[in-house]
Amino acid sequence: MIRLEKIYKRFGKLEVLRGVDLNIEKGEVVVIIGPSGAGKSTLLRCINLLERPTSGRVIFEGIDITRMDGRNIDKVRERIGMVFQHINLFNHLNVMDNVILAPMKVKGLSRNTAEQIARSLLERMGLGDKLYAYPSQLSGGQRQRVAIARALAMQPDIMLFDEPTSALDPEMIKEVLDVMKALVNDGMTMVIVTHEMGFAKEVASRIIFMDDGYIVEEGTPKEIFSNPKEERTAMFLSKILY
Amino acid sequence: MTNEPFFPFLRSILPFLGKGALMTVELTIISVGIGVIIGIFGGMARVSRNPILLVPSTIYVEVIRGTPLLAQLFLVYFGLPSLGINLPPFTAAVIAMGINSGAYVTEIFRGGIQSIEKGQMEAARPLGLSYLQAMRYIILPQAFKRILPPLGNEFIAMLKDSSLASTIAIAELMRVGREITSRTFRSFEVLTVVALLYLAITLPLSLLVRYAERRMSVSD
Ligand SMILES: Nc1ncnc2c1ncn2[C@@H]1O[C@H](COP(=O)(O)OP(=O)(O)OP(=O)(O)O)[C@@H](O)[C@H]1O
Ligand SMILES: [Mg+2]
Repeated sequence: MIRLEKIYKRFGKLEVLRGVDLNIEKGEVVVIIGPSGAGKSTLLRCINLLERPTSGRVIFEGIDITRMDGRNIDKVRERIGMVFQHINLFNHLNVMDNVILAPMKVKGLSRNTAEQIARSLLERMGLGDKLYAYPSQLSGGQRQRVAIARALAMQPDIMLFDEPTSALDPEMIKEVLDVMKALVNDGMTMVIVTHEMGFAKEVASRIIFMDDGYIVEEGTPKEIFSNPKEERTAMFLSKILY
Repeated sequence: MTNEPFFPFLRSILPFLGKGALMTVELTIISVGIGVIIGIFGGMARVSRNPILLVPSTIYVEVIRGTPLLAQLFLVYFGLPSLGINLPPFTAAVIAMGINSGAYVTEIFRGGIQSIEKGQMEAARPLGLSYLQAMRYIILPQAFKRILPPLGNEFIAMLKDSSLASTIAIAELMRVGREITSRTFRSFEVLTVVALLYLAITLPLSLLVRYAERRMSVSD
């Protein structure tokens, strides 16, 4: 579905991505782990071209989107949902309006249709009683679930998550992970950057370990967690799993 | 008439001054209205990284803010005719004041747009919203709320500055006052009343602005 070919990304002199190749098939749940500064967020942001790779190609369903102009990139982005660590709901809009804005303005859905989609999504996420609340009235976990619903309302083909639980208080992490697990069960294609190793083990069809701007190792959760081939992977896991 | 006691005199001139005040308000509303329209686009141009937008908007703001409104007014009213463009006084005034106001409102919008957290734009783009859509539906509505107080201040400033339009024969408050003065020679009383009328319009507005500012500092 998405193929990254030889992705390099430089910020000035700093080379953040150094030749990343990655192929994501439909229905896969790819979890990216790695130390801080490894380039995980940058890689994720290259997938929907929020960051333009310095070189390399991003192929989305057979089409090289790195060559596209802004208008067409917007079209591609409609189909790639994204959820960040820093939760940015639109502050001036209530939950419902946050979720229906893009379906209405980007896809041209009627308010009615968009609201129907939004309502069923929000109810599934346990937010049925918060439809008309404003972001400032929600907890972090609730806000993140709205952010997920907002991305899903575009009915994307793939969802990107960048440490969606890192900014949350511990007691709210589970509610967000549960929502994500439900998505996995629905067969959603997902790329997830996370430090939640238990969750990674449980849902990942493939784990990617990144360090220093490239993919050090990849494999099934079992391969990576039980017998990593690379020294650096083992080092990282021993630190993070105690 | 010159020896008439103050209150009957006041009653006799108030209808004229009232008309002048209406003209002042009308002039200001139209000018600031034009200013806001210019300011929305000017403000977006001022935060753009595209030099084709950034450079002209910056020059516009600096030139307008760095030159007197009176000079701008004269340029439009007395200067343009030499290029074959003759404008009636009211049109000339509204154009000059609107363009003038636009520069200040541009800077107000620039500040407002820049005050919205970067994350709002960053959340909008991955949803497929274009930059302009994100501006229109996400950034500007939030910015607009935040800049209401400075916009109110701009309105007050323009209301006072609109007295300059008296120099190009517009019967706004100042002009009417001066005409009454030259007929009655009661400058002190008339001009005091004129000043109080300006104050009667601006004071409630500044109280409103201050109230809005206070409410905003509480809400965020
Ligand atoms: N816009 C930017 N400009 C300059 N440097 C950047 C930019 N974005 C990221 N970097 C740098 O690139 C490197 C990789 O950043 P990135 O955010 O991709 O790492 P990460 O693996 O997501 O780390 P973390 O786990 O801390 O989120 C870091 O050194 C970071 O400082
Ligand atoms: Mg990151």
